[in-house]
Amino acid sequence: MRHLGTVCKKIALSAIQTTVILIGITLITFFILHISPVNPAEIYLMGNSGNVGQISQEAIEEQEKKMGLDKPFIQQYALWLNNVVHGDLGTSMTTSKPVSEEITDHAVPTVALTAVSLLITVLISVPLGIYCAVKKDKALDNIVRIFSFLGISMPSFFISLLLLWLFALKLQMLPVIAQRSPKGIILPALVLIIQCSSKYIRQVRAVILEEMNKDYVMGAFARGISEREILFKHVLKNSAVPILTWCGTYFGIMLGGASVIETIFSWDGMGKLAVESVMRLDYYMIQGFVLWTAVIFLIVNFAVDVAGDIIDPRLKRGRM
Amino acid sequence: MLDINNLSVSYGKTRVVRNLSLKVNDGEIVCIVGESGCGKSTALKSVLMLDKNASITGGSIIFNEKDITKLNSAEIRNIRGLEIAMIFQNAFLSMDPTKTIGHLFYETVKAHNKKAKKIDCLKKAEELMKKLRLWETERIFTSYPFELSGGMCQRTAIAAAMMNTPKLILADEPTSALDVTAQAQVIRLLKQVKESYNTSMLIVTHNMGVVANLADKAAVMYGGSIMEIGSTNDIINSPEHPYTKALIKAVPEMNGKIPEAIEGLPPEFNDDMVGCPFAPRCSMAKDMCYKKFPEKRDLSQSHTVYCNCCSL
Repeated sequence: MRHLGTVCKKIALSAIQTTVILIGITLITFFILHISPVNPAEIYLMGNSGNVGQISQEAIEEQEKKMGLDKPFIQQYALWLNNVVHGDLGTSMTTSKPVSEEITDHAVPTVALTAVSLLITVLISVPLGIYCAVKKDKALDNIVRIFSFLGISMPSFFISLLLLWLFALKLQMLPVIAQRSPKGIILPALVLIIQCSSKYIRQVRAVILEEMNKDYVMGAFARGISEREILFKHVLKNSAVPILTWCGTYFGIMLGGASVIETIFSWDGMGKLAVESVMRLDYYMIQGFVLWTAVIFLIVNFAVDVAGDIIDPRLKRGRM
Repeated sequence: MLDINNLSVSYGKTRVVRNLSLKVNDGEIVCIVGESGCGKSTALKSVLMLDKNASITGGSIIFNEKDITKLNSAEIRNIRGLEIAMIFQNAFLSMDPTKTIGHLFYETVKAHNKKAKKIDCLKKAEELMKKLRLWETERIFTSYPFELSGGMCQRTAIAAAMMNTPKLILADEPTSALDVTAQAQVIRLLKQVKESYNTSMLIVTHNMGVVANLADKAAVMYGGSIMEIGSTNDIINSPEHPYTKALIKAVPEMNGKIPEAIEGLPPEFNDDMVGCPFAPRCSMAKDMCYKKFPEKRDLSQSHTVYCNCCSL
């Protein structure tokens, strides 16, 4: 039963870690919002009309009281935290809808975009990265190197505009504004795939190359194992954990919402929601978004950890 | 059985093994001794063409009437692990950390016999380990390399190397990474392997103790060339080459006498090196030593030295 004990201990430990991280992250965002010079009550009263300076001081103070902004900072945070624990993320100041509803509403397009982009990114990058490592400095490796270099150095808005110009204006094959249509997903996904694959191919290549220089590879060669078997049965298994970790990172980045890309293509997901909330200083919405991103990264990290435990005996036997 | 003739090996443009000639007969243990960086490991690895960065620039390696340097990769693969097995300095690092030791034994057989079954291989491995007096086989087979001690790992690696009963074992500093008791166990095990299977061995080491305990024949290497070669008795008890003498004086003894270090540093490899590579550190060096590589001189049937100055 010693085994069960260690498993429980591990779960308890990660639960404590998770709580501390979540409180830390939300506290920091709360503080940053608190010290920002803009008054959310004023923004709220302005609504979308933008009539600056036309709201009376009394009205602002009244609104502050309503929103709890007159209370000390720590009390505000405690109030918010208490509500979150009870499942209430607050109400969006701009749309007056519950934050949780806004998140679930905007998460769907982002999840769709992530699923498509990540799948294709992995399908392109992992095989190509392995190939480039094995055929290092050969023709295809050099071509891929150039494309990766371009993909990494061009900012996402620039790639987006290039693709928009080519596919929407010149060829008129795809819509300029995506707006949750199946055809509209192609361009934003393409930008994400180009951006992530450019890095991921190089990362996979580097991991494989490093692994192939290790002593056990020469050991396997000396035992007469074929190059193919060494690559697929030994090198790949040993490289799986770092390759998976990178994949988890991209998953987190994509699910967190690619703000620039979603905004350019009017893809109504989490990234666009985040940008809009920041523009309007929508306190609770921003807090909700930060919480969402943090939770996603924690889940992804945990999943990668567990997968690593399963794949790599060094981790499995070392920890359990 | 193994006949290395005038072998030269280069890394890029640097020649690190120069005209090396060495013979290993059936059931013979030959040691190559020398300081770090004298090219002994490179020479050993080139027997199985294992170092991708090294290229063989001259000479031949004849094994069972085939020149290994002229074989294609599939033919070399058929020799690796089957006819010639190799043991590394750090056994633990030479094994895949994500596979169990049992899998290592299985894979070593399966690489040369596609039909091999895991159960049969493990049974054979167990018999082999018992014959070599290695116990706890059950625990070892289910362990990962990092779960065994260094000495245990090295002895297991030797057992695994014997799975296909190779005719020749190459060992690259098999004792250097171990503590003294584990060293003794490994030496004893290698002796046992030779006695049980009449396996020939080519062992690279910088440890004179290994030479004295194990070798039938020893070759002293310096600067990529062999300086002196002879039976173990010749080399240990009547060394002729100044370098061999210095090397033996540098061995620590139990009586508290501080060993004598050899002055200077091993040579850097460059291609305009002519003459005897040891000359800059040699107290007996004459002008001619810098100009021309010394002639081969046979002192007896088994004892050969490459030196201009000694025993004249």
